Amino acid sequence: MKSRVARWSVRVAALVACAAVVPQTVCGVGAADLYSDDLAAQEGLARQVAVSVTSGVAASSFHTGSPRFDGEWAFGTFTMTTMGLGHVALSHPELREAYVPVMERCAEELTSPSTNAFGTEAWGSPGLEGLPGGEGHGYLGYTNLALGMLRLLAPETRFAGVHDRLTEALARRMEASPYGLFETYPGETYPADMSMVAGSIALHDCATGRAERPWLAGFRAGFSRWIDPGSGLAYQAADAKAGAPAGPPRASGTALAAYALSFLDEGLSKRLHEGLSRARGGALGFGVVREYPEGHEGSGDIDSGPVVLGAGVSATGFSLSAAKLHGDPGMFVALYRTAALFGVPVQKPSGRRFMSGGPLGNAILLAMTTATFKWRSHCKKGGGA
Amino acid sequence: MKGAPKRTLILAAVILAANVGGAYLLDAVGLVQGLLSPSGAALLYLVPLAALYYVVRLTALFVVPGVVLGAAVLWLFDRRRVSH
Repeated sequence: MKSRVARWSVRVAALVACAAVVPQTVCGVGAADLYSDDLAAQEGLARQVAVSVTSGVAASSFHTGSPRFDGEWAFGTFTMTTMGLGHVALSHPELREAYVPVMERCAEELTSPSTNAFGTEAWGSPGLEGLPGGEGHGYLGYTNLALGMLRLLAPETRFAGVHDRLTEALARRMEASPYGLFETYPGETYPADMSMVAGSIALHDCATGRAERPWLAGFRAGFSRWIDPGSGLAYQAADAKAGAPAGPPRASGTALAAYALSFLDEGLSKRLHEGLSRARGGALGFGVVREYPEGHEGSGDIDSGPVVLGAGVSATGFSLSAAKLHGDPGMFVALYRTAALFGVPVQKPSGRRFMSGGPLGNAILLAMTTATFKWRSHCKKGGGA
Repeated sequence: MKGAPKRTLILAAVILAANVGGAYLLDAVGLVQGLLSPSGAALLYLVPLAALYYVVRLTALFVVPGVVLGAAVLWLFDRRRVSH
């Protein structure tokens, strides 16, 4: 091949062909196994996450510049670890004995005054005192969902009492709210957090065999108010008193809500997944979820993480669960490839983790890649969605 | 292997090794904890290190395989031409 043009053509063709095939193949390793709940694929990350939380994750481990966000990140790490380990134990019951003690350790942290200091500071009083009385503290839906997962796998857990009281408190607050929303922090209301509250109540009732609460039907029907009909995404913030959106629809909150609502209403969760599918983008086999729908512009914040060329880091990671739960292997694998490309999986003697994930990122990826409906088969008679 | 694209192969091997080794190195030095640390000293070296690492990783995955394949194909063509 003498011609200079021909030689460069070969080089360019090779470059394009390899770029289209090699990166997605390398970054997709393990994705199909995770999608199918393969034991080895799930256990590698689960072991690492378990080691991470038992070696001491606290608000002091994070330094976002805001004490509230530091606390939220530690809180999120314990919540997502509990959910992820619970999913793994649901898919592989032989691991239950190994992971229930770690989940109880997380529950201990989630109910401790130190982990809840960010909420206490915001409200001026501890959210877990005086239950089932009180108001607000909508972030406790995350604690309640984690306690529900623990209760499902360990019905006799010592956290059963606080789980019952917290569920009752959240149920009273939600039932009393005119639009199915109450405040996470004073003056701040988020539909995604309320999805977590509703999902956690449903999971509690599944774990304890309680019949479905009549007002939950109204919550299901009323949640449409918080879904933008144009994009199919949920509004990120709302005015609880006026019953109106207080911000644009966004994918990060939608993806989190789709996961949380899977414990309450598969159809509603699927509807949100369809919105996320429409917000999907990407190239060369890598998938992302755009944080804002067309017609809305915005930058990244503590909820979305960095927004790069419109793609949201949290939205992309959280959407893994909806893709898995609602039978969309193409989207799951494409999103996982992106997580692997930038998360960078590393193999350690104690398991597998994502180098750039940190404790929270790894816990989220564990929970989202292992999400399952297998909890349903553990519902006591009379409960469940 | 006379005339083989040795320089291309060596460079590719170095970049691929840096992709794998860099991940373990950044994991060992605690990239995320360092980036979240209030100490500015860690940021001074971690931010450029992380940026360099991602350039290497994207190059290793999206560029290196194609460059190696292109070089290998041209080498095979050249070798065939010489033998004829």
